[in-house]
Amino acid sequence: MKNKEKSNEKVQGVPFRKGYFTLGEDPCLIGTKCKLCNTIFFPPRVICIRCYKEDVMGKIKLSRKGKLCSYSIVWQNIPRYKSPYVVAYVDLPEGVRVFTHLTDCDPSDLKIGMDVEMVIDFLRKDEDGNDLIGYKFRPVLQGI
Amino acid sequence: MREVKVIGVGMTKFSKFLDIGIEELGREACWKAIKDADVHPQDVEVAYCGHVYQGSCVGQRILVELGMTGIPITNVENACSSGSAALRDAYIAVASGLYDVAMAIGVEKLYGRVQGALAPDKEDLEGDLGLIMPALYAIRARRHMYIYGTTPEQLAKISVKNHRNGCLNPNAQYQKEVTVEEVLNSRMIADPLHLLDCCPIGDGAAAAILCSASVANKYTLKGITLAASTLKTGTVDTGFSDADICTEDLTQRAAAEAYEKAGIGPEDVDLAEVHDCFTIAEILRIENLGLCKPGEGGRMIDEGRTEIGGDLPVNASGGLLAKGHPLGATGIAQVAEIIWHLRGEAGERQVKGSKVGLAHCRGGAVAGTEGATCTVQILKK
Repeated sequence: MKNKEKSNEKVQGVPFRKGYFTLGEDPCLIGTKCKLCNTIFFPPRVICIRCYKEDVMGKIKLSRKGKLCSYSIVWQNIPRYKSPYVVAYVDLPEGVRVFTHLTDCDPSDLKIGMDVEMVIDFLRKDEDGNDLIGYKFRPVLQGI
Repeated sequence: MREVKVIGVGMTKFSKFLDIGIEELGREACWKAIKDADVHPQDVEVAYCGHVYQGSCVGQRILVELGMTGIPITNVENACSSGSAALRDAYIAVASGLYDVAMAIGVEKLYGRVQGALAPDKEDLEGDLGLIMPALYAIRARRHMYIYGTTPEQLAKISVKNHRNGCLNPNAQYQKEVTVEEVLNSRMIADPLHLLDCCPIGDGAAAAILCSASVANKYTLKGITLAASTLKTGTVDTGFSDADICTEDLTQRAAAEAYEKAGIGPEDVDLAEVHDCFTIAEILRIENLGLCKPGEGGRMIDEGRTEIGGDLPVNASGGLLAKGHPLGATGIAQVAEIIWHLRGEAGERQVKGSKVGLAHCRGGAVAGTEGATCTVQILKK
């Protein structure tokens, strides 16, 4: 879990989902916002499930930083991910809660409510052996 | 809607059965229920079979063993609530007046089929990202500890209680007591949940015969009224940061409708079988079913109130933790357990004088929602 600090731009691979996040040095999640009720959703939606209408959603870049709602360190071996890995819910200021992995951290330093920020990281390999990349969050470095 | 009675129940032992197939397990449970109800197999007019991983037409594959095909048979999948959803379909079939006698079956063979841990479908966003069911509950456990000060020891005590109860249940997969130390020292699965905080992989089957109260006495005088059978699904709330992940809106909604339909409140429940797939789950459920206040779940186990001899026995059967959790079978096995207590047939684990029982199942995970399904059944003597 504690990786060397690396630039988001250096992480290579195929995004595991299209249209869910941007790449580059300051990546962020892409949500959708309903023009009628202003609700923001992640992951992106086609139909607003508050208004029950289509053609009302616009894409919106979400904040890179959020707060840690809760987490768990998974020790059980499962087929697609190498344990231990840390899963978490992260709350973003736009009112969305994101299920994600935590990276670049010592689990004993994790605290509910701490500030975390999004990064792009290697997620897993797909069935053809290609590297899949996705969004994770890491504790915001203090004093920077 | 007509009054519906459960007139017969049956289940297999839950265990890891290397050499017993699903058809044989299902046949055993169904035959026991038929004998218990004293019905002739040809009296059953419709059947519903709950399962998750048993493949196409498993209900028919089981009932052909009993000469009971020809009638309408529907197979039902709703994750861990598959059996109870099948039971609810049987209830609706009879309550609506369309049929007089219905059978609900729940079956599962997980041993050899599931590796690692149960997880959402891998196309589901959270399943795709490596969420496994232990982690889903572990995240909630950590939050519950943060908000209410619940401790790993209190979680362990739930495993201790349910394993002790399992020793009194000849059908339980595990019939060996465990200590708090053993739970806390068992292998960590998803922090803070250890192996003994988690229900096991296993196989088994259960069945129930339901009939209209108007004809129940033709078969048996042991019928117990199924006063409510509700099913709800999760709405998109975990996708929003203002949701409290320890609030199980799904459970609350299923329970509210069940209490209203049965004409009771949580204070009237004499015993409950709740979905303790993980120790934290028992705490979350008794809180969200209104059987105790939010945050009090830890105190309930500390004070022994959920023991068989306590004022609110929870999981006298051993629960999913010790009795086991063959997914499709669980919902109907819970109802069988309550029926036995209400009839006074629960042997050494009998909750004395019980008249009202509640069975709760919660199943599946769908990204953005707090859960896929929840069922609540209320049985009244």
